[in-house]
Amino acid sequence: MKKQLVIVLLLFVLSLSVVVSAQEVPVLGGTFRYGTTVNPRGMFNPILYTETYDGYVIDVVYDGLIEIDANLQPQPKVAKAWEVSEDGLEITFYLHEGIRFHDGVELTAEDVAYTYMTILHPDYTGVRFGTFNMLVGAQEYKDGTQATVPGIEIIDDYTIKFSTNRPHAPLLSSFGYGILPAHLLAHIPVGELETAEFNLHPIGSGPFKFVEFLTDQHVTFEANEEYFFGRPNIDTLVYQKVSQDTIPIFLQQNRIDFIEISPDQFLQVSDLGHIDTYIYEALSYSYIAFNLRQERFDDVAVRQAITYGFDRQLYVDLIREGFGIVANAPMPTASWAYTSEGIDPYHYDPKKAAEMLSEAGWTPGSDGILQKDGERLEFEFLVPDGSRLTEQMALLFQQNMEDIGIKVNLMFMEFSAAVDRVDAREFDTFTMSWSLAVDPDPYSIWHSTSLWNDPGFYNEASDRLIEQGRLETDLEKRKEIYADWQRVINYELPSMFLNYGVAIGAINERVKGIDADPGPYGPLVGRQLLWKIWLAD
Amino acid sequence: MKQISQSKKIWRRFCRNKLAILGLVILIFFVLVSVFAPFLTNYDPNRSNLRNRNLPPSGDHLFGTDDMGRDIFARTLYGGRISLSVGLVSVGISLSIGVVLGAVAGFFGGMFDTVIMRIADVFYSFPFMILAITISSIFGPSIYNTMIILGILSWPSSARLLRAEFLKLKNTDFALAATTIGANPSRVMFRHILPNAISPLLVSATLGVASAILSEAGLSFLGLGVPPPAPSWGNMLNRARPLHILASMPWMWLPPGIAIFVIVLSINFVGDGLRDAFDPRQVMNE
Repeated sequence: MKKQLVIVLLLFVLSLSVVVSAQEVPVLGGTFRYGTTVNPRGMFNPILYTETYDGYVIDVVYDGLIEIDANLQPQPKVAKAWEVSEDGLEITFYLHEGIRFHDGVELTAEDVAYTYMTILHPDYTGVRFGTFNMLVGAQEYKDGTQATVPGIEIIDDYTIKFSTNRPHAPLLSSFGYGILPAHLLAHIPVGELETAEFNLHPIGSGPFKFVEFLTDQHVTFEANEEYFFGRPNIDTLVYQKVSQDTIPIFLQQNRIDFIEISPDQFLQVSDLGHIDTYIYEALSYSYIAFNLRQERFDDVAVRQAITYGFDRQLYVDLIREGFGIVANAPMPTASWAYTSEGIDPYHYDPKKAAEMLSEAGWTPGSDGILQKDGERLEFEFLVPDGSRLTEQMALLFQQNMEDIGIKVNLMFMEFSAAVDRVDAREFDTFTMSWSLAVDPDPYSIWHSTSLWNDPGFYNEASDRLIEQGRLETDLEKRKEIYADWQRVINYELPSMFLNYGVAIGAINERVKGIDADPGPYGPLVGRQLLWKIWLAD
Repeated sequence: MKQISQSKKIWRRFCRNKLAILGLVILIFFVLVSVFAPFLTNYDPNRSNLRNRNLPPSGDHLFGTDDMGRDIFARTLYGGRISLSVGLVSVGISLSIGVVLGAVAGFFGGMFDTVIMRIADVFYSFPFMILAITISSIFGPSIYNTMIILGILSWPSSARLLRAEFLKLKNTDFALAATTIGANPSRVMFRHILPNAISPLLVSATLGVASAILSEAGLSFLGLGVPPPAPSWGNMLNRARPLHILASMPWMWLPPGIAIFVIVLSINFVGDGLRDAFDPRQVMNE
């Protein structure tokens, strides 16, 4: 709790200390280098990608109908305005005229329809159907019993209407997906879209044109001179791959202008002088997922015992040096739906953990490892490498588990290799984190039918609450539903939640035009401000 | 004149080489210290204590603690066990493959020779470290994989060495005599010829241990050798990689660094000493 206070104070002091400089005239030109520690996978398709780092590329190459601003509110982008019908079942978007894709072809309602129709297509291989399954006729189209989707209606070239067959609270904020150029993709069968060459050479209508992607080196973009909302101030944007250990050197030598640093680098980086740091609560959480398809993890007592047996407070306080808040449910403090009421904090209690395990029938074997019916409580823990803090967390977890008689075998793996294993469900446990969308709707991650439900969690109450939450348009009632849902998850613990993200953005002081009082998306509002920033000499 | 056995002669020659003796003493010291590690420290090398992280050397922690609060003195001692055993086992593996294949190639010649030596050439033509990294990332890092990889990748040098010895020795009188009285080939190879080819093999094995220790350190440094939490000198160096540790916490990387340096150097001294001692030409100088 104290640490939390310290962070809040820090946030406050920092926001005071960064005085917004008087109106300066933007300078054109220059190269902005955005540091990342993980490679994208090369799926630069807004409706098919699943990794955050592919999303980085998509963010600047494509524009969506709307975008979510720093205060988490939807703002017009490709759509200059929208209209929601009184019963909340219909949204009509009015598009700007004259927006062009990077190849010069104009973006129309046809492209918007193509983008969303593809998500609903029977052969669609991505994971986003659940986000739009409430559109009128979507399910029938998906099942192949209907050839069109009445819920997506092109009124004219610049007007498109979406209608739903039931109220759907998160609907508006789901229209941020980058709009795909139909004229380049419509001829490819939807089932083969996953392997299309296009995904590696994306063409959108966004502020930057994709130039090249070299694994372990960089992704390069050039300014879209014809960008509808005005040419970006910088000429070139580079996502520079940096290894975690060399971040401070890269910052010091001005080889990157911005990067999210890890807590153990905070002091060192703040000492650099020409680098400003911003601390903000992010819409993210990290977790250790259990594979609930395995009998041992199917027992809630085992999951709770493991959680009691892991000193997460120590992890946050010492390994993360206080940057983070221990999480007990998958709803970050930065979200309006967060609640702490009725949430069991699972304070570190190895004795209780041991008791729970012995009540669940696990008894120590000759080697001290717990056993039940001849099966040892021993499992593999998949840890993506690249982050020192995650590695330290894994070592602490291993040791804490050993103390209560559980043997954990660490398996360090390159991030995308780890993702492949998780996708194939070939894991016992793994750790990763989720960056969340602005709407708290947990459907795509936690509903039993969702493809992102990696642990394989199924709980009737949880499913019902998630469905209710989508239907409820009254904010207060919705909040109640999600509070109930958090309590269900908090008891069931399909994953052990580690911490809510507190991020630190480090940015070179030559970068102007940033959000000096950052919300959950940081000083560049995700990557939205990249086309507005400029570089002072 | 008193008759002195061959091995005593060699030992005497070895003793005259001061560097070799120094190397041997240091080597024995390291082996003893690793073997008796549990008696020299009360700390569990894998046991972290986050409340004591990054402590400089003190009475409690002779070499300080690392970023997980583990005692570096203990980790250096136990790391020695792993580094030394990886060195010995991998050389053992490479020797057993190399001896058999080299002996067969040299003794039988012909097709055997051609095939085995071409395979050896193939192994030689790959850059060692890159191949090791590739194999290790396919099979996953573990102590045993490291031993096996290092062993399998380094057999060609002992095979070549032994083949050359066999080519030379198989036509000597004693080998021909053994064959003539009807000893079967494997008896001739391993009972008669091999003991006479042992000295160059011993030298190369000794030096092989040193290079295996270095390779293990390299692989572990890259995170592909001995996986955490078990300590090895290489992965201790790996953990000390971040800039602020390099710059301001030398106790994290000096002990494993010095240990690797000293042990590789002393093994090389011993190897050189052995080579000189075995060399019959040295006799002339006596």
